[in-house]
Amino acid sequence: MKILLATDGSVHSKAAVEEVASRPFPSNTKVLIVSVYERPRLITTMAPMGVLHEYNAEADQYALKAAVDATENAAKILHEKNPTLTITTAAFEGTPKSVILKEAETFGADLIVVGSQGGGAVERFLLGSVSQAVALHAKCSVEIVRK
Amino acid sequence: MKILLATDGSAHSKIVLASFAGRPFPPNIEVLIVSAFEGAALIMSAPAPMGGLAGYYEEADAISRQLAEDAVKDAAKFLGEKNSSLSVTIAVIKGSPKSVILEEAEKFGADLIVVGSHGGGAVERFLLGSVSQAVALHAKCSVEIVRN
Repeated sequence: MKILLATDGSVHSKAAVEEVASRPFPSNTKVLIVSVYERPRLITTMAPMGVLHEYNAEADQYALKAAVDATENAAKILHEKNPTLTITTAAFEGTPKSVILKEAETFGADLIVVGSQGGGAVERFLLGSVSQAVALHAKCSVEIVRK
Repeated sequence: MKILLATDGSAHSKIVLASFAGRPFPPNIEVLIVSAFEGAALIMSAPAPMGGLAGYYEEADAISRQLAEDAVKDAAKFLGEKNSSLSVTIAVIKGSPKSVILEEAEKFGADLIVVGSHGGGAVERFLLGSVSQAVALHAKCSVEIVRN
């Protein structure tokens, strides 16, 4: 079985990681942990005073590092709770919706696990836009984890 | 862990069930299999103009209930055969499937709701059926949408 687990390091993502970690899976289950960060492309192309480029380049580094940290932390939790899983991690730059769907297809995922909301969510929303788009457009099963 | 499994006896529901039954589970899993059937309540409340209609709707209701009962019983039997460690209960409830699934999940204290991406009424081209969508949106617990 192949599972794509999407995380952005937020509280709801952590709930999704814990959920996957606590569950038994068939042997030979492969988990791909994906984290996606977005670059403020539009803004970076029009820095009027010259300083913004550096500022954005630095912000990019932080975003990448946060994404990598999120996948590594998730991998650590999964491995501790269930050492039989084969875990790989990947951090991507792009739109989370598209990247998660594309990577799930490339990976040949049977199941995508996402939190009900990400870090950008207003708690009052019932379902985040990424989770909604993934549930709608995925070619495989989708589990939305709520805490 | 408590899991609510929704079924309407459709071909896709059977795929969901087969995928669900084949999984490994932790011990102490309670599964509640729910099937909702829609009565012709609104139509029936209007006086039947020709006298004969009331009986017709009652019969249609009874058939819908029977179909829903068959769906949950078949599902429970299949699940019991495939995985005897699960504790399985069934429920057939009259009402709109969206509300019934959400209400039963809360009453049952479900940790997870498992639904198919489509039910029996689905046009295959739709990406996600309206019931699955409503459940994913409004459930208080985790939701798994199973696709084949």
